[in-house]
Amino acid sequence: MIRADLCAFAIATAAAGTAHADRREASLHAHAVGGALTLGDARRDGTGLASGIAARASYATSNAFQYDAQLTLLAGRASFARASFMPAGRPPVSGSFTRSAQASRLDAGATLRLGVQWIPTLRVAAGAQLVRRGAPTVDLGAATADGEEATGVAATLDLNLVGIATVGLDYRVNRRLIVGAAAGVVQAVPGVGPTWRTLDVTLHAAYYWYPRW
Amino acid sequence: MHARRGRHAALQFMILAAFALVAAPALAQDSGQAKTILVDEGGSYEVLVHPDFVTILYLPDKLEKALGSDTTSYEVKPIGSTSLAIRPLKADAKPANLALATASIKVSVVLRVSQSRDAAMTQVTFKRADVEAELERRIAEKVKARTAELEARVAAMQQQMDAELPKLADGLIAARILQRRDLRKLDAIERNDANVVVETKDVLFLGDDAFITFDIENRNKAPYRLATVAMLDGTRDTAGVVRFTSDAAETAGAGVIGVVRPGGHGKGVVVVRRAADLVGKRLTLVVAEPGGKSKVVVDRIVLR
Repeated sequence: MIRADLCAFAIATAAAGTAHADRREASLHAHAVGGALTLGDARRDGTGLASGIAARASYATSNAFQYDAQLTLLAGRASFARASFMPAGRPPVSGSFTRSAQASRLDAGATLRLGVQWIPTLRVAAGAQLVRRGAPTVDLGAATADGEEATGVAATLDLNLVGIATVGLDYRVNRRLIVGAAAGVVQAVPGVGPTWRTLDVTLHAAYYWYPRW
Repeated sequence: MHARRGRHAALQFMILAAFALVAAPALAQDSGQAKTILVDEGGSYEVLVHPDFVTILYLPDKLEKALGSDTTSYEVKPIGSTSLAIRPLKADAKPANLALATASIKVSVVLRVSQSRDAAMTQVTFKRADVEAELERRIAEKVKARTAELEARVAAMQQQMDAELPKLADGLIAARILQRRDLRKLDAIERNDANVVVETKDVLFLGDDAFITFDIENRNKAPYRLATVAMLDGTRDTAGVVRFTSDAAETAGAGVIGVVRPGGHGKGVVVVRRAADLVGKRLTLVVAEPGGKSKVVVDRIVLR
């Protein structure tokens, strides 16, 4: 009885808050990314495919929201409609062409998580990326004109500001492992760097734990 | 088939029990080679004797008359005023009777030589049935009165304890508060594969003891039935009293401390005695369902 009273006293002094399943959980994600790429050129936009990998770190402040930062590395190639190139000291060339692209993106965002075992997700994020566009490779029919010397257009390195939105579905395998898939769009802010847009699909696995700071 | 056999056996038992109840007034306190016979006023009773044994007959009051039908085959001697010693003189003595009369009873004792030594009586006590019944009634009355008295005293003591214990508890708490009263935050949290999350919230140091509060959130689809709570220092369980409460409608059954409904929360306290010995150590809170299922292990709990 004495113990019961003491326990009741202790309960009464306990904080009002209660545990939250995802609150205070941190995670490290590994992503495989692939999708359709729209890449800007000086004259027009080209389309192609891009793929890459990403790593994300997150921390949840409630059962519904987790905040995260992601580093993405992408490589792709876009095809453009016919254009003319006038390399210095060489005859002009014209034809359809392609440009390779590599991007390194760092973004930060928030993910709305709507489940426990099966977890629908909605993520919005914003970030910046460095995009390297390779020199054009012009299709001349029987041959190609490749590189700055042949086309007069050099490879470029540009900065984009991007906005990101993805929807996905995660599955918690156990207390530590979550796997999932997502589809999303990444859109560069117009006027800051060349056009960049991807519609991509992501497969990922994530390790979750409770960090002690 | 088994049911019919069982009912038959039960019926047999009831009949035997009924016979035993009917026979009880005549045969009481039988044990081995001694028996007691309750007599209303008179009657005839068979007593097995054997040449190897002396059989003593005890009477309820002074023997007034004793007549034997065969004094050549049976030796009968009075022992004091209320008892007789009997011994058959021949192994092949025929049955005979012994008529006995006292102030309160008149009985005929049929003496028969037993073929077996083990069946022979060595002691037979005759008692007045009405006297015995009166004695039993008086004893029952005394027992009832004594029981009522004791129950009243126990109730009074219980009332006194109910009044005194809260004061005692208040005194203990007050003394401990004077000794030490600190509330410290704890931040250990863990979950299991079934989406049950346990978080230690804080620790209340009260005197030498620590009261560690923890929350359980059950995000599983099945109720979480908390059966065990351990606070491990290495492999040694330091947990004392545990109390748990939740918003579940289901009551805790046998072997269950508390229930957390699906999507619900529960709060608990585990008491650790002599917590000063554990300060700075890494403790582990382990909660589990019956059979150790759905265990949640919250480690790295450090009391400061």
